[in-house]
Amino acid sequence: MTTGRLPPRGIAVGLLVLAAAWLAGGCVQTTVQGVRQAETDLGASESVVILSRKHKTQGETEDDFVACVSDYVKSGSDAVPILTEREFVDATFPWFEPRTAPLNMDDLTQVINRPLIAERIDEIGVRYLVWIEGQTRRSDQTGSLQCTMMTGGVPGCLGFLSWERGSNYEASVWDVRRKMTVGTLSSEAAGTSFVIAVVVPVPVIARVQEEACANLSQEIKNFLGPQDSSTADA
Amino acid sequence: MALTRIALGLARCPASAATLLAGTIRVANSRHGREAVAFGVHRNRRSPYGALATALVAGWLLGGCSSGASITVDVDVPRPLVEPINAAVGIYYNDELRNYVHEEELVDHGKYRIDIGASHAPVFAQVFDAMFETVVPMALVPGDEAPADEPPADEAPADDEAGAGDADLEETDAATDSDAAGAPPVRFTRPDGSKPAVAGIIAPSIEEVQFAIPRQTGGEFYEVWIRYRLDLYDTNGNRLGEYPVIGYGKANKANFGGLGQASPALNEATMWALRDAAAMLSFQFRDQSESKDWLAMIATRNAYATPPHAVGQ
Repeated sequence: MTTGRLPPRGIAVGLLVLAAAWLAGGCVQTTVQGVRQAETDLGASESVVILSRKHKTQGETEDDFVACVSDYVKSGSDAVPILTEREFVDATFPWFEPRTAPLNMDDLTQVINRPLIAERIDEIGVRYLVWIEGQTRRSDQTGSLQCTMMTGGVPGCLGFLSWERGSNYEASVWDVRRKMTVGTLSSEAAGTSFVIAVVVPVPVIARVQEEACANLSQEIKNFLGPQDSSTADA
Repeated sequence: MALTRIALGLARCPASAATLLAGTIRVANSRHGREAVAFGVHRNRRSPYGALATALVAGWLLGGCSSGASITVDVDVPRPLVEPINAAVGIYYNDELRNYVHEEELVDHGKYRIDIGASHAPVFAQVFDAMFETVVPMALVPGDEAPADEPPADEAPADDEAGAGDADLEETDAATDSDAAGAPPVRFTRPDGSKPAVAGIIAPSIEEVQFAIPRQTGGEFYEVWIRYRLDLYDTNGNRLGEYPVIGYGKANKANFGGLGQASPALNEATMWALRDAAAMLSFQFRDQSESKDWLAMIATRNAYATPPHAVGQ
């Protein structure tokens, strides 16, 4: 257990180690894939809803990831009109609730063939539903970190902790008007985060989920935006 | 990050208060394993700053151990998109439903209090307004007891002589004659005492509330289950049957990181449970065997009513 004062040289070395760690750490590896099954043509008055599946007993997609994708897709010069998940499920209540939402295209067809639902979906202008599934999970972790009160009551820490996080998300794009799945997109990201502590703990966090969000969002924008030859592949 | 790890460990309250007052905190991670939080003791700490810091840390740690939650749920549900049944029905909300509070103490996890009473009437009103062409609020004739625990007419003792003749509402007809040997009818009236022109009456009541928290189950969710019972009456107050409604809601703990999040998480789970009950009620009511007889009865009482089999959702 560290209980004494660290010598000035030790602090300097520690800071150098931290700086090196900061520069070297926090890298994220990403993979993006997409399969287009049909062309898309989002009209000027039409919008898209980003939804998550909520019927599962485990592995439910985080709300902040869905919010991140929605925010990202509706911003920028290539923004796509978005209706929020809550606005959509409220407008179509009770047909898209956790226990009642259609799980496949046959179910969706049955739902939107009902006059009340069809009328409401026309009214709110929703053309595409983007169902997101997946999660960010923490996996391997190693190291140890100790914190203590040093002389004078100053807290200090020493040690090294590292852990890996992986994001794996998939988005299915449903065309409400044509009642068909038009594509599937996926975004994976993995990275190692760590904390180095020499008196002061310095976390170097790999922004795995944020990277997965940015990549998937851009992929959705490309998919639903004006078609070009680079996106119209399988 | 270390503080986060400590907080996560403390959320599980692994140590006693006495141990928490120690001056050293060590967070150790084992390879591929869960992190453990251990607390050691330094006996030679004399600095007043150290004591202050220790006290602050200990207070924070103890705060992390305090658990339980108290919430008052205030929920509105959207109007369900369902085709209304062309009938006028009365709805009676008993006091237990209007004032329902669930209180429970979980061993090692504190006391929990979930107040959902105030949300019931607005939620059910929204659903019934969409499900039926006309909905009339009902009350009990003064002096009558709440009908919550009566058995259906066909389960009641055969020697009960009370019958439709005591009813305060419309005269008996063929639909209610069969209930004459059943339980004593409940005398419904409108809140102003007038006789309502309705084809049937629904009285929702709450039977049970259960909840679970992730620290208790080891799962990912705060979960809430609410079981309701809808007693289905004819206009003479004879109970023709009951219809169960179960609402389930969950809140992902990943959306509620950090200390002190039990209350908002349980609030979210309860909100979804009420919403789920509303959804399932509006979604399934007319297709279930428990309600079909009653729907057929109200169709006969309403010359203009749409038969239940002809009503699409």
